[in-house]
Amino acid sequence: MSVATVYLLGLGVSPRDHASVEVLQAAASCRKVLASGLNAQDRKFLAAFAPKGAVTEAPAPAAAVAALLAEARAGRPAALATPGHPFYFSALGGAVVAACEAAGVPWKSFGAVSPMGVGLSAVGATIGTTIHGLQSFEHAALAGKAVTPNPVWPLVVYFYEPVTAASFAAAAARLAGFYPPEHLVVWCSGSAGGRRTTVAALAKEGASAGPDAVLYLPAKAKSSAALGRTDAHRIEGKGPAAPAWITD
Amino acid sequence: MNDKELLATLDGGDEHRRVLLDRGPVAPADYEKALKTAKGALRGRLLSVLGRREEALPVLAAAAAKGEARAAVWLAAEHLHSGRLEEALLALAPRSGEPWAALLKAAALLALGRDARESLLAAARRGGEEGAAAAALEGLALAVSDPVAASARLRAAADAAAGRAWPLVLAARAARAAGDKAACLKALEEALEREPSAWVHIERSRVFEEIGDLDRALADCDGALSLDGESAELLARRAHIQICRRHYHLAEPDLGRAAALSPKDPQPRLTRATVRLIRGDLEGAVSDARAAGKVGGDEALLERCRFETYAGKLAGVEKTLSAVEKRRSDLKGAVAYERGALALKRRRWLDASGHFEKAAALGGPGGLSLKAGFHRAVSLGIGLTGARAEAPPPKDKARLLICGLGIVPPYTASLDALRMIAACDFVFNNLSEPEIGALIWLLSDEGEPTMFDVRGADARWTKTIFRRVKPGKTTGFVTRGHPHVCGGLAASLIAECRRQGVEWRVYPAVSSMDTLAFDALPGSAAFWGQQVLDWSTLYAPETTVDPRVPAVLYFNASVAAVGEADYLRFCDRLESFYGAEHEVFFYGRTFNERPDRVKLGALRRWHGRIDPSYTLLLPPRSA
Repeated sequence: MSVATVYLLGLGVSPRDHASVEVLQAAASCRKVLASGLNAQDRKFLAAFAPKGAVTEAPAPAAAVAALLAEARAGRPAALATPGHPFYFSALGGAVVAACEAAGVPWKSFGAVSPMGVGLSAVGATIGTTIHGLQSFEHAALAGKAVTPNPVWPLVVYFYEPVTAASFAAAAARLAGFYPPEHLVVWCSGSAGGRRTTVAALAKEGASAGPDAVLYLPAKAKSSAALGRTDAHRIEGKGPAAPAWITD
Repeated sequence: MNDKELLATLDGGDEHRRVLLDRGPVAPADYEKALKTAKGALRGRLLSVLGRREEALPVLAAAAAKGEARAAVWLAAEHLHSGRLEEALLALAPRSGEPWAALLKAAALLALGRDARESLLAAARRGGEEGAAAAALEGLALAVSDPVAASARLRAAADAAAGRAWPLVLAARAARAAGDKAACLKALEEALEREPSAWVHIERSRVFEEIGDLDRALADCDGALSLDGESAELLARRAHIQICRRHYHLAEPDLGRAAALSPKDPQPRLTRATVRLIRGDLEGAVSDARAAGKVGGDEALLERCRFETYAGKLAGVEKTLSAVEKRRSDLKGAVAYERGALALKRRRWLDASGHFEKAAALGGPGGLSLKAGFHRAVSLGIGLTGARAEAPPPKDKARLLICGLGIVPPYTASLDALRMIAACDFVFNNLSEPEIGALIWLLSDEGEPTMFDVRGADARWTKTIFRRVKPGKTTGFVTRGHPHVCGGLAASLIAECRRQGVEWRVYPAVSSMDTLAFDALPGSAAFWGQQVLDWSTLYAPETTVDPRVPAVLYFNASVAAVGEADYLRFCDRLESFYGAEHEVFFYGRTFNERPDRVKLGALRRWHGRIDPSYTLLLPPRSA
């Protein structure tokens, strides 16, 4: 019996909007799809594509890895499905890949709509035209100083690690230490999608973010670079006038 | 070409290529002419070389049964090329002493994973090109287990067949399989110097196409045509490249001539129908598909049904489908697929899903199960999430929706994007792949192609698109990747929307910035964030890159104009974050190609050689 493939399926920031066709098609080929971090509605939606009874809540990481490998070894494709992308969403995706590699089980992942993509769409900023760099950090990594924001690029913050009042406050405090209080913050998606606030106000909002929430903060400082900004627009000399808050 | 010369090219002269190269050589126009009068084994062989395998097989089998010279070997070759390896061996059994028989036998045995030494030795003993081909075949068999020995055998074959191109083409393929694009192109260059011929040009055009260098791919098609003159195969090949370049107006005449040269082949007409569909010429597309349906049997009739569906000419489609279903039980899956397309066009999403599910279960030729599975996901996805779709705009408001179908369209299309296309009154399609044009026509009723790329001309396309932006209507623009990643046109369109008070929305998509790090660094522990930057931002001294998380760096049109001193400043800046020894992934014109893995310091030597469409993935420094 040949060993089947383990799929790592990322359904994007908002699964019923961002799931890609290839991800749904892969889910349809699996009799076991372990859902991690998906809410009940998204799990039900995914279940409509897969064979009856295939989609279940993922057990603890070690058991999830073992279940996926056992299914693949039995010659049946299996999948781990998460919001965002399994590699970014939690450590489980990496653990599945490591176990597959060690066991010689083939695995495959697909691209997924990321918080960066959601942020860009929400504010209408274009890499290479109206902005020239973008950084996207998980709130806990930002709070824990595992990453350092760049002042001349906009910042995207997302919430794939469990959000607690303390972790949200710590992330907000890190932002407050880096940006002025009146600095703009845009809630790009999730229940607060479209709302604008400030860094100072964010700290008072408390933990209201889940995996479908994305924050976008424009650049803190204007870039002084003059060279190399001759992108397609500027060569043509007819570039659009973007609002100041989305340019660097 | 007289009969003797024709036989010489059809027999041993071409067999090395037929056996060793999975794609046969381009058939010269002379073959088409010769076919008109050829009989018996010769006719079978010509049909085989011209790719008309279904017709070739019975002709060759009949000739072999009569004991005609060469018929058994040609029959074996046909079986071999069609993957019927045991049949190939059986056909060869009574003719093992004929030229090329030993080589064919060796190829079949190797493909079956059996010991081919005796046959290889027999072929080698015959010397000349047959002997060289045996050495090459041995080299190919060793390519995975012993690349050094494989290379030596291929070189020996090249030396033994002095003046011939084919051993170098094999060497090119081996280099390509090993990921050495430069060596591959060098070998093909040498092959063309040795033996300028259409089939080598076409071979190289395929390589250029794969690496995204479409201008050179086109030049090779022109080169092939200048050597061999017009043939249906060469014209169709050049049309294919023109389609990839989105120069549909140039593909059409080539396909028209290909159809005229090969009137019984439905394919050129069906391809032209697709081109006309992409261009929005629905009448022309249906006319071509109907003409193809007259010469191509039930399979072509089903294609005709689909084009009628795309064009909204739905009246007679079900009747035709029922008739085909009644006649051909082997096409039940294909009929279910066409019924799914029909339901999709009628916006009966869940009905469509049911038909596609049935088609996927029944299966059929051409990867039908996979295609049906794809369309099932599309129709079920839209059907289940239809409530999340955009409502039509008010009568006095125009609306522009912009979406990307992701890095591997249409497979990476999101449900947002599909719902968007279905909500549009008119769709501009910036993607050349025929299957995307087809999907868009199943979901919408009107549209036309655009040809915007990283080099710009946004103002021109903005003007074109805004001609269709009207009050009470929803207009769509569909592109590759994410519209806001190196997509100047999206920025230009938004600016114009703001200026004219048009409602707009951009949908996020699966972009290269989202996928490259996954592909290159699976399971990395450093995925607590990512960065994406335009190369020019590094000239700002305030810019910092955090080397603890992955970064994707895009170039743009300005990299082609930058002076060397300034270019080196860019290299200095990048190295200041990562160090010159840091290994990075360098992507060429297409993300379908494996990236080159190079030390960051190597970039210093690349001034003037970086295309604006190239991309660099910088893994975390600790990874």
